[in-house]
Amino acid sequence: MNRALAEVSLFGLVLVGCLLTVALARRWRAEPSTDGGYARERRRRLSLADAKAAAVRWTTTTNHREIGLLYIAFGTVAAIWGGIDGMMIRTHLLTPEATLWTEGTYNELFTMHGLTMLIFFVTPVFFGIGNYFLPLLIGADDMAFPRLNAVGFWLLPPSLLLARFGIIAEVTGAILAVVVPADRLSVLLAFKEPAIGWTVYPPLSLAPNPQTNFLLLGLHLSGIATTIGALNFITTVVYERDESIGWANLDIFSWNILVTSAIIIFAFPLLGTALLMLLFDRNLGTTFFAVEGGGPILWQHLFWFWGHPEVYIIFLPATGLMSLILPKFVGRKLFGFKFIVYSTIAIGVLSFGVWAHHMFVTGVDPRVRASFMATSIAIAVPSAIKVFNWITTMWNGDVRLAAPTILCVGSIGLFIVGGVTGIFLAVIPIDVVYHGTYYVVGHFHLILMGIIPLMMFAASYYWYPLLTGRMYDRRLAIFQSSLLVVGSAVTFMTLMALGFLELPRRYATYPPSYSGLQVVATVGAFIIGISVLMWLYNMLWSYFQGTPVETADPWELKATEQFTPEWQWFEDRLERERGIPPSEPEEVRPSYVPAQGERPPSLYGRIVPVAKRVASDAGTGAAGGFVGTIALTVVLLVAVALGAFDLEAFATLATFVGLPANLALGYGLFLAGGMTVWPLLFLSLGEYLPGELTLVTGLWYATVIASGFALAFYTGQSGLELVTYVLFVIVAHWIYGLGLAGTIAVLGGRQRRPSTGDDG
Amino acid sequence: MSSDDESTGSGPEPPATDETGPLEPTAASESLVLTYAAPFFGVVLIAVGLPLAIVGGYVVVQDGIGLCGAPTISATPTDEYEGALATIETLPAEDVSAAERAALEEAIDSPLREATVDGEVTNRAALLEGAIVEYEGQDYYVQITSQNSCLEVAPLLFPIGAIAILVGIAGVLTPPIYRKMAGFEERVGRDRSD
Ligand code: HEM
Ligand SMILES: [Cu+2]
Repeated sequence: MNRALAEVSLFGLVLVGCLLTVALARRWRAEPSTDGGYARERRRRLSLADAKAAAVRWTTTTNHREIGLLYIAFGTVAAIWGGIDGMMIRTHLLTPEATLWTEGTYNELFTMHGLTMLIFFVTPVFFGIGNYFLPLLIGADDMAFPRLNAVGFWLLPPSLLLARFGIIAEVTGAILAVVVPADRLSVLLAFKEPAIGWTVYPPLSLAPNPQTNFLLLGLHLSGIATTIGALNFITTVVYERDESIGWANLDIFSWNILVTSAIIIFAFPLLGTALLMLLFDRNLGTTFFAVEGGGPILWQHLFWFWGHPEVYIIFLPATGLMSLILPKFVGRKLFGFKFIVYSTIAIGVLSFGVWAHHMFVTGVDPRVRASFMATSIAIAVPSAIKVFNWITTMWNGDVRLAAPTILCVGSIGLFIVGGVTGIFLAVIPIDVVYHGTYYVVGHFHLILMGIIPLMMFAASYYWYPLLTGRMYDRRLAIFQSSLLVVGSAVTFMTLMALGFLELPRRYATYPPSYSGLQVVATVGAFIIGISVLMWLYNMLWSYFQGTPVETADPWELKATEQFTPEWQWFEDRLERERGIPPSEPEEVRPSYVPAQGERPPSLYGRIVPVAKRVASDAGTGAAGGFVGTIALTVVLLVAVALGAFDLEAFATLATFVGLPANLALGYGLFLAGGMTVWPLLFLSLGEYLPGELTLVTGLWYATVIASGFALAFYTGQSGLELVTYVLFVIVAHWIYGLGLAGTIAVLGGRQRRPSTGDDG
Repeated sequence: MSSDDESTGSGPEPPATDETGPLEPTAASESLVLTYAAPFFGVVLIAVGLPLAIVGGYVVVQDGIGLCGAPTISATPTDEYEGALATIETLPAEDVSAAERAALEEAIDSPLREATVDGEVTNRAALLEGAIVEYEGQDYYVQITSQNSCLEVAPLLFPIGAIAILVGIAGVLTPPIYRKMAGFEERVGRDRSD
């Protein structure tokens, strides 16, 4: 069957559905029962001139809110397009043989699905949300460079058209072929969507499909647009903040956009360069990635040096939304704000040091591989910190049933599974087995689908009253959110299961024994599809038919003092335009007082206090870690003297990161870990451990990590030796904990923060 | 879509879709089964019905307009492989069937180097493996890239799927239908008591 026609028809169907919804909603509103004559007259006046004015307005606007909406609309269109690709992939996989579409078509589908989703859906939508809300959140009048902002957006539609010109040409060709003789259309018919995987690996991507050139150009153009947007965000956050917003009370979403933008600045120029090199290879006879030239592996290094940071470019804004929205629906302020910010920055830096984990099976030197394994496992720590903080934010909270709550809780669950399976993949022997299987597809979709779109939906519900002045249908929203979570879990957990059975991915056919699970995954995918359509309907219908909001505080944020600046802006606007007075909550329970930092004059002056705070926290931790580790060592040395502990275990430690087995190296590493990783974990996790006193918490913490140490350094002791070993390990760690916590308490690093304020 | 052009100035507001207050999405009087459970089963029915209907419907279309059976081949000049084809067998030109030859010609002319074999494929096994074929003095590496296999399922799946979808849609629409019915009964009751 002609896939291009099927896809365009489906896309058209969704579009017609949307238009129909809008038309019906408008007509019902104009029913004479309310305000007939006037409304009908108004409707008739929606003439050509109006349309023209609207077109001019929307194409020339430099207002950050309008550009934000344009971005969101563009991203939604791309999501529907890429989503139809996804549905077609799943439909294709209903049958073990390639019967509905051909093998080649399948390859086109997953290639363009991946690219459309990653490049044209996620970043534009997050940029849209950032454009609309970031200036409101930081009290800026607009983005720093409004015109550049518009330029950045308007580069996107042409880049999407370039990237997907294959399908456009195919459909145009097929339609024209009805009237025009085929040989006149040979140019159009030469185009076909590339079937080379979203990673565009050479030598496959050097194959002679002319559309691949357009795809590369489209990607390059979108990269330029992304870089422009990122520059604008950074400048806006640094220079356009309101007097009252310092670094300490910059909201969490803006922090995330800031870090994301910084990653973009470092990552995207590299992608652009690599794309141009590939274009030159294809068209100008250079040999950067040719087998006889630089080699295909060079492409993989360049690609993944962008590709892994890109993973965080699309993931961090989602975590920002989570950290922003979740507290509003559980009535508690975000737990461990500072550590969430640190972990975000840590991810930003670390994300550039893990790229080769995508290349474990390419024959990279095993020693190099091992160190990438270590960094890849380490990067899980900051993400875990975020998860712990979210869970604690909900703990004891006043959790309210609303669509955003369901989406937040659901994504935390899906993200934990996606994240944990990712840590397994970072382990070389596991990756070697599962690398090319559905395990990988399950893993990354649990994140790509499980948290990114879910957080976008949560944001759309959370801010819908502010965006439209109306409330959406909340029952439908709750229903839709639950469906989305259920559908995602069914689909991608099933892919995970297929992966455990070692079904390879990127294949159009599979042995019939897998078909049961494949059908289950497809049913799950259709559930996702249906729920997305429900969301679309709700957004459009409620825009005309929803209950108008009568308060600027629909989520009762004032009651927990979480009435953030964008809602304040909304309140002013409601009062100005509709005369709705600001509301007062019946009861207020203070949850936090933002630190009102002075605004230092220069960028340098503004970064210094933050850097100082970071340095002092890190310094305190390291000092505590040093004291603790040395004390621990002394105890262990006694154990060595007693023969209960084998120093060799330290030497083995060095081999884990690819160093030779050497006692000094191993101990150095141990000390470094004792001064960095474990104190950091203590500082961030300490808040969840029992104990009012820092010292007591330190003991608890030490007890927990002692068990890990006992397992890791066990060298086959038995009988009494084993008992001594365990005793010494525990005592040594208690001393470590006391040293660590004591030093930190003396230097004043860790403070217990008041939780909700209602219980002190 | 900004709010100012639509939400202001059109007089009294239209009937709302959602009358409950901002914080309780479901009123106490509403049945949770009818509001959430019934549509959930509806969606599941639709999601199960879709694959059935698609596969069942496709079989009919496929057989009706002959969408399958003709394999696609690709042809690449052997020079591009630089000796990597040393172990690949050569298919003697006289063994190539007319349909295969026509497809080979077409593939050589096409910028994508692909074409469909419309007719008898006598060398299916060899071409699945990939073989070297000579054409007008130039050697080509020819391979079947897609078999375009035919789907074989019972067409009966289509009506089954369609019914599942229809029942499912009814399930999804339970809440609004139920609300309409409740309103109707209330009105009838009021009329009667008048
Ligand atoms: C609507 C739900 C979705 C479904 C049913 C779906 C389905 C799939 C399937 C089955 C594959 C694997 C194809 C194969 O390896 O043979 C795939 C690949 C992929 N998907 Fe999705 N997907 C969905 C949403 C998303 C989203 C939201 C994103 C990104 C934000 C995404 C990004 C990707 C990427 C990057 C690949 C890899 C493509 C490649 O191997 O070149 N998907 N998808
Ligand atoms: Cu990675």
